[in-house]
Amino acid sequence: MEQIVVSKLTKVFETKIKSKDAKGFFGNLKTEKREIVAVDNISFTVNKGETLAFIGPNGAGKSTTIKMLTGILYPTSGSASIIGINPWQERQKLAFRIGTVFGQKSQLSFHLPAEDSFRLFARIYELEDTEYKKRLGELIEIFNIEEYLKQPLRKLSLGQRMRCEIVASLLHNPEIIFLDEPTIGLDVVAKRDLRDVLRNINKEWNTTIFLTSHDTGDIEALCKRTIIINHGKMIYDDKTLNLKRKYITVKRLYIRFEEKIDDFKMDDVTVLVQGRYGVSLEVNTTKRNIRSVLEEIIKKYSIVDINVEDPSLEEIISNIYEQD
Amino acid sequence: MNLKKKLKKYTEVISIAQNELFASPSNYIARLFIHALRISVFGIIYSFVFNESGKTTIDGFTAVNAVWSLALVQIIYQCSRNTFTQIKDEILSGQIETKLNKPYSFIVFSFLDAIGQAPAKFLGFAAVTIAVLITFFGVPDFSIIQLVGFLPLFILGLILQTLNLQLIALSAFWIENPDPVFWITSKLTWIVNGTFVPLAILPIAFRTVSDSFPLSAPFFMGRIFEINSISDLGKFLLIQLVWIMIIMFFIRIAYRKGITKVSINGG
Amino acid sequence: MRIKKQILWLYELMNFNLKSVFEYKSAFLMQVIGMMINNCAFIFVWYLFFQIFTSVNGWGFKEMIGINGFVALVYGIVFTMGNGIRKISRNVTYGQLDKYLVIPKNPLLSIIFSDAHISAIGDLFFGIISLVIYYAMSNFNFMQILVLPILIVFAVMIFAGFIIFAQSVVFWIPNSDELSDTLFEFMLGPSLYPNSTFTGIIRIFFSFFIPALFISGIPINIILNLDIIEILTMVVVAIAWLFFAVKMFNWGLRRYESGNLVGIR
Repeated sequence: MEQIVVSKLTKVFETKIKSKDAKGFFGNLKTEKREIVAVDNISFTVNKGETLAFIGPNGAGKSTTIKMLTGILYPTSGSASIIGINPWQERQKLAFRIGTVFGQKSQLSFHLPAEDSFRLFARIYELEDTEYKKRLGELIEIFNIEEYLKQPLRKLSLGQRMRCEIVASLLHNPEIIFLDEPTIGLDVVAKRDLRDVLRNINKEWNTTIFLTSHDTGDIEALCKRTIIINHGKMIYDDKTLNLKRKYITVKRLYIRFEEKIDDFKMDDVTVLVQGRYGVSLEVNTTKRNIRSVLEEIIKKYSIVDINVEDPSLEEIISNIYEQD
Repeated sequence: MNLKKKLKKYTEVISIAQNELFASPSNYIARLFIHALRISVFGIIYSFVFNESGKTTIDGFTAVNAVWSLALVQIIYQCSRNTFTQIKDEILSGQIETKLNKPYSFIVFSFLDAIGQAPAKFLGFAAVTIAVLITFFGVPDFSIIQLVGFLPLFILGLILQTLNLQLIALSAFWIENPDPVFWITSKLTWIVNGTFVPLAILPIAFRTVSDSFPLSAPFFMGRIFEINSISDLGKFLLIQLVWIMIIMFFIRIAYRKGITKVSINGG
Repeated sequence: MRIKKQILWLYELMNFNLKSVFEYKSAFLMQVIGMMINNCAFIFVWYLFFQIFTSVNGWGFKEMIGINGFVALVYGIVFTMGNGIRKISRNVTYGQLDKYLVIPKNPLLSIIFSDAHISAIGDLFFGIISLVIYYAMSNFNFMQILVLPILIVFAVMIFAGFIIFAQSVVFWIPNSDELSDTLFEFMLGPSLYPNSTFTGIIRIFFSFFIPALFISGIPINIILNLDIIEILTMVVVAIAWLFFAVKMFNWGLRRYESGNLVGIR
C-alpha cells in the first residue's frame, strides 16, 4: 500500500550573497540574489512497512527533502502525499501520525528525567492514559531503558539519550518514523543495539522507517531500500543489496607467499602494495574474472594465506558520489 | 619574537570582533536608530520633568544637561557587548572546556572580543547622539576640561564595565543561575548612574554611592557636568582606575579557582 | 473535547516547565526576593522624586505605586509561565523552531509556554501588593475595584501582543534578537513613568505604536475616571494588537517555511 508518494518535488532557495567586489563596511550592504536548486524534480513512492535509507553527500538535498515531507518547508513545485495528507498544508494533522527524530537536535528536556518528557508527549499527542501507559511499558521493555528512566537527561550517555529520543517519537504509535542521523556519535555497540531495536519495531508494528545517515552500517543493517540523492537529483533508487551487486567492479586480494616475492606481475591485475612476502591486489572483475586470477596464482606460487574482499559499501557509495 | 606571536593572536581577536560587527550592518544601523529614538524619547521625558518642577535648573543642572548625561550613559551601554551572557553560557554549557586547553587565556580573549567592537561602535553612536541632541535639545556649554575628559572617561569606563560583566559572569562557576544577580545589580545600577531619573534630582547621597560603587563607576562620563576642574576629572579617572585594578584582581582569582571546578555533564 | 485536550496539554507543559526550574531550587528564592527588592528600589526613587516635585500634572507618588504595581502584575502574569514568548527570535535564529513544528500543536503556543521564568512570581506578588496598597490609599468605589481585573486581562493581551510582534521581526531581519529585546525595553521603560509626562505626538506614539501607556498609565487613568470611551479604546487596542501580532507571527512562519530566511537552512 502506498504510504509516501512524492512527485516532481522541487525546492529552489533564493539567497542573498554579498557581492564579490564588496569592500569594507558599506560593501557588506551590497547583495546579489542567487538561486540554489536544493531538490530537483524528485519522484518516488514508499510502501507501508518499508525500510528506506535516504542518503547523499552533505548538501545533496536530503535534509531539505525530509523537511518538506514533514511539513517544515514547502516546495517550489511538485507534490507529496504522506498517508494521504499534504504535509505542508496539513502539518499538524500529519504530525499525529508520524514520528521524527533529529540526531543532532534533542526534543526532550535536558534537565528533567525522560519520563517527565514522555508524559508531556503523551499530552501533546493527546493519548488516553491507559493507551499511553501500555505503550510506554512496551517501549521501555523493547528499548531497555527502565534503569535510567528517572535520571535527568543530562546525566545519561549519548546512546541512552538517543534511545529515549526514539521512544518519545514512538509513543503515539506513528505509522512512519523519520530519523535524521540517529546514530551519529554513538559507539559501535550502541549503534548495533539501536539498529536491532529499530528493526524489531519495523517487524512487529510494521512502522515505515525513513532514515538518513552517513553511516553505511546503518544502511546495511536496517534498510532494504536505498535512495541516493546528489545535487538535488535522485541518482539511485533500488534495493540496498543491489547497490553492491550493481556497483562492484573490483575485488581485492591479499596474498601471503611462502617464499620471497620481488616483482609480482599479472595481466589485468593491479598491484596495490608490494611486500616481501605478500601482495595486495585489485582485480577489475569486468575485465577478468576472479576465478582465473586465483587459478593462476595457485599454479605459479606457494600460498600461505589468501583473503578476497569486496570494496565496502562505503567505498561504493563514495564512488557513486564522486562519479556524479 | 615570541612576544610578537603572542600579541598577534590577541590582536586577531580584535579584528575578528570588528568584522563581526561589519558582517551584519543592518543590525548595527537598526541599533543606531533605536538609540536615536531612545535618547529622543527619554530626552523629552526628562525635559518635561524639569519643566513641571517649575525650575529651570536644579543645583545648576539644566534639562539639557540631564538629557546629555542620559545619552552619554547610554553610549557606554551600547558600546559594551553581551559579555555577561557569552561567558555565562560558555561556563554553564561546558563549552568553556574547549577553550581551556588552547594556548591562550580565555578571559583575556573574551575581554578583547568585547572591546574589539568599541571603537567602531563609539564612532557610530557618538555621531548619532550628537546629531540628535544638537537638533532637538541644544548644546550645553562644555568647558575645556569637560571636552578633554570625555575620551578618557569613556575608555576607562568601558574597560571597567566589561570587567564588571566578566566578574559577575564568572559567578556561573559557583551559582547555578547567575542571571538574577545580573538583573538585580543592573537595575540597581540604573538608579545610581542616572538612567532611571537624572542623578541631579536625587539626594546627594546617591552621588556618593555612585562614586563608591564599582558598577556605577563605568558611567562617570554621564556625570561630565560635575567636572569643573582638573581635580574633579582626576578624581573620577582615579576611581575608575582603582576599580579596574581591584576587579581585575578578583577576576584573576575567580577565574583560577573557577576553572578547577568545571563540571562535566553526561559521559 | 478538543479544547479539553489542549488545556490538558498546556497544563502538563506548565507543570513540566516548573519542574525544570525547580531542579535548581537555590536560585529560586533568591530570584523571587531579589525581584521584589528591585521593584521596591524603583518605588523608593519615585518617593524621592515626588519629594521634590509634588505632582506631575495631578499624578503623585500614590499613582506611581499604582502604575508600577499594574505593570509588574502584567509582567509577572505573562512571564511566569509564558517566558518562551521572548525567545521566539532566538529560537528562529538558532534553528530551534523545527521541533515546535513537528508536533501536532500550535507552534506559537508551544513556544510561548516552552519556558517559565519563575522569578517573575516576585513581580507578580509585588504587583498585587502594590495595587492593594494603592487601592487602600485611594478609597475607591465598587466599580473602580471591579474594573481592575478586566483591565489586567486587556493589558496582558496588549503586552503579549507587542512582544510577539517584536520577536517576529526576526522573520524579516535576520539575527535581530537584540533588536527585539530593545523594542521590548522601549515599551517597558516608558511605562514606568508618570502618565502625564507624555503629551502630543509622543503620547500617540507611546499609545498606539509602542503601547507603553496602555499597560500602565491609561489603565490607572481608567480606574480613576471610569471613562467609557477610554475603556472601549483599550478593548479595541487590545484585540487589534493581539490579532495583528499573531497574524504577523504566522506570516513570518510562512516565510520560514519557504526556507528563504537568510542564514536558515
